[in-house]
Amino acid sequence: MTAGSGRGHVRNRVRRLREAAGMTQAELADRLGTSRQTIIAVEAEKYAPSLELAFRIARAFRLPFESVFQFDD
Amino acid sequence: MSGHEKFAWASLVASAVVWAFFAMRMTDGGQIVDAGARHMLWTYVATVVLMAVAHSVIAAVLAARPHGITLKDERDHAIEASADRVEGYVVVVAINALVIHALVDAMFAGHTLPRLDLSSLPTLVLALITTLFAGHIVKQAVTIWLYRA
Repeated sequence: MTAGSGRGHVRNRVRRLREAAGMTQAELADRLGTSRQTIIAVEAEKYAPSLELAFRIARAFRLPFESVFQFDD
Repeated sequence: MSGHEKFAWASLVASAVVWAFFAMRMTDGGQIVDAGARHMLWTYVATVVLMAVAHSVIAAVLAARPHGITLKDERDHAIEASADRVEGYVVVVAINALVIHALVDAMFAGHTLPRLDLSSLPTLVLALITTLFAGHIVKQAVTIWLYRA
C-alpha cells in the first residue's frame, strides 16, 4: 500500500494545499467521497491513490494534476 | 482506527477463539482423539455457526457506532485484495505441505520422526480446518498491518 512501486515514488502536496485551503482531513475526505484514513495515508505518502482519486484531489484544489502529484523515478 | 481495521482486529480474536473451541473438541491432552463422524460433523457445524454469529455480532456492534463501518473506499479494497492474496498463499502452501507430508510419510513408512496420520479422518479434518483458520487469521493480521503500514 506504499506510494512507491520500488522503481519510483509518488509525491504530493495534499497536506500543504489542504491546510492552505483551511480544510480538515475529514472535510476533504467527505468532499472526495473517501475515508479520513485514506487522506491521512495519501498525505503521508504511504498510499498512492488511484488515477481517479488523484484527479478528484487535484480538482478539489482547482489545480492541474501535476501541481499536486509528482512522480520521482 | 477505521471501522474496517477494528473489524479485522475483532475477527482475528474471534477466529482464534473459535479455532481453540474446534481444536479442544478434536483433541484431548494435546492428542487428536479418535472421534466418530457424528461428533466431528457437529463440531464442524458448531464451528461454522460460531464464526457466522461472531462476525455478525462484530459487524452489528461496529455498525451501531458513529463512524463505525463506512462503505469501503479504494484503499480499503486495495488492502482487502492484498490480504486475500496472502490468505490464498497460506492455504496453498499449507495444503501442499500436507500433501507432501502424506506422500513422504507413505514412502518412508516406519520412520520415527513426528508425523500427522492423514489417513485418520479426525487428523485430516483437524488439519484442513486448521489450514482454513490459519489462512483467515493471517489475512486479518495482514489487513491490520497494511492499515498501519
